[in-house]
Amino acid sequence: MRSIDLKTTPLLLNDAGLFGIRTAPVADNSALGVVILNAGMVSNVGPFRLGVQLADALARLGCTCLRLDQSGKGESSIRPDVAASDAALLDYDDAFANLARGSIQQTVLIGVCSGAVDALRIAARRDSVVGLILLDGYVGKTPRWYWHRGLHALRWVRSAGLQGTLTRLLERLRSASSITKNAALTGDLDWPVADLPGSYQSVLGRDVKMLCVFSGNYLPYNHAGQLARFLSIGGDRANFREIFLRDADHIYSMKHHRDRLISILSEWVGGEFTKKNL
Amino acid sequence: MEPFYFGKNNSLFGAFHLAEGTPRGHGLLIAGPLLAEGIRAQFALRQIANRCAALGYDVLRFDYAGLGNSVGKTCDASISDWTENLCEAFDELRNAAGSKTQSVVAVRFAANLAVELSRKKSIENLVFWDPLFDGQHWLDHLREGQRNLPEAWLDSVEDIDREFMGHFMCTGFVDELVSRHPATPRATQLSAVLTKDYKHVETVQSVATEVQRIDADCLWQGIASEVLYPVEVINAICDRLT
Repeated sequence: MRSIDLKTTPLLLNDAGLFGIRTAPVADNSALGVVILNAGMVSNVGPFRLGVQLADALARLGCTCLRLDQSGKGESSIRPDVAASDAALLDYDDAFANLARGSIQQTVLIGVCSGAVDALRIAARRDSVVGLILLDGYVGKTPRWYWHRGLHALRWVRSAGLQGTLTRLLERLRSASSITKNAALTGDLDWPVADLPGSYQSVLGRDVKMLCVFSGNYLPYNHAGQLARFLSIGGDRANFREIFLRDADHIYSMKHHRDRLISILSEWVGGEFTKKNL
Repeated sequence: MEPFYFGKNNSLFGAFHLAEGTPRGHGLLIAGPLLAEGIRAQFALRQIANRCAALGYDVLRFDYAGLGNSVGKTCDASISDWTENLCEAFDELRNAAGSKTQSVVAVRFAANLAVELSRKKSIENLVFWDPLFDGQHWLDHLREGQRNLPEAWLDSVEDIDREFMGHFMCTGFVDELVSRHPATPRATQLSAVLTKDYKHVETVQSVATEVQRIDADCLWQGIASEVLYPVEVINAICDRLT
């Protein structure tokens, strides 16, 4: 990685106190902005500072990165009387307006979990988004998903035995809080998703470059290539790449998993958005 | 809220909440917890800051070196750096707000740092939230959390003695941590708010003049993406300050 001095600037992006942190090379003349959305309710820093590390790595490639606290999250206030889905779009508009005051006309959006859902919806509605990185984003269940799930359950029953299986099932029934905890860990949340397959098609049809990375304990995803199958697109599609990091968890808790993720994302941004953008 | 950078080389992130209404001329410094606990507590600490600012206090929250939005890598920061950061933040608040008196809220291991601060600076009201005064207690907590992680993850960790629940620390971190023992804090008022599963009640009782037990969960060892928002604790801390 090149040694580039970075400048980090905290910003209030509108009068209501929408907050973001801009990280860019000191000699900032990049044409590509990267907007990083919140992972769930965690602030722009991200779980284990994933957001900070990612912004630094991409800024060293020459990008101007903005870690955004979406309305009501991190340091930002709620937008009164605005639905959450609309707020995400308005937040992006305010962030982009700030980036566009310089030479930036195009952005790559990055989202984790619910942030990935927001990123997809924004990308489907804003032409300024030319790249999309979704970490454990929305994916539908395919026949192969049920096959893998069944195999996993069978393997588990074989190793735990009948008594172990019954004990585990009883434990699950007893503890509602553990189910909530599992949902938070795996991202298996009950979002309204009806519009999302259409958003994928819209974004891909517009030739937005898309990288989708899935972790190993994200329940809606359990085999490589599941998203491509779900969307019925060929794996060789030029603007679509799907990666399964089977060993990593949903929030990249371990340093070596985060390092690997950041390396993959940096390579992809560097490769897809060449010097003409940066 | 006004975000800014301060301290040596402008490397520390600060969030300054200017007093609303009639200012009291009293500053409140919030010394948040460290590592993953700090990220999870950010939202709750912001609520405390907003509420106290609305009552006329000038409030400063900040991130320690190598943590949160501050500059630097976590693995380059040490506990002595963080202690120094707390002193810098205390002085920054006084300079920014021109406050005559200052209080401090210290959460988890920041309590240890705040005790050292209290021996150097004049603190009016020092409120602890689930404090850890002893470095060994925090180390035990970190190691317990580490043990709960799946074995497969730990097998591929490059240096198991330096990575604590996802954070990679400097070489001397453990030695520095275990050398931090409880000391007697100095402040006009000393109190503590403790949640249901808090373990070190006796230590706190020997340090704080008032201890309030709250029947609320506060899962410090929970999942890093779960934001902590114990409303009863926030209310209790605000009551103690105001």
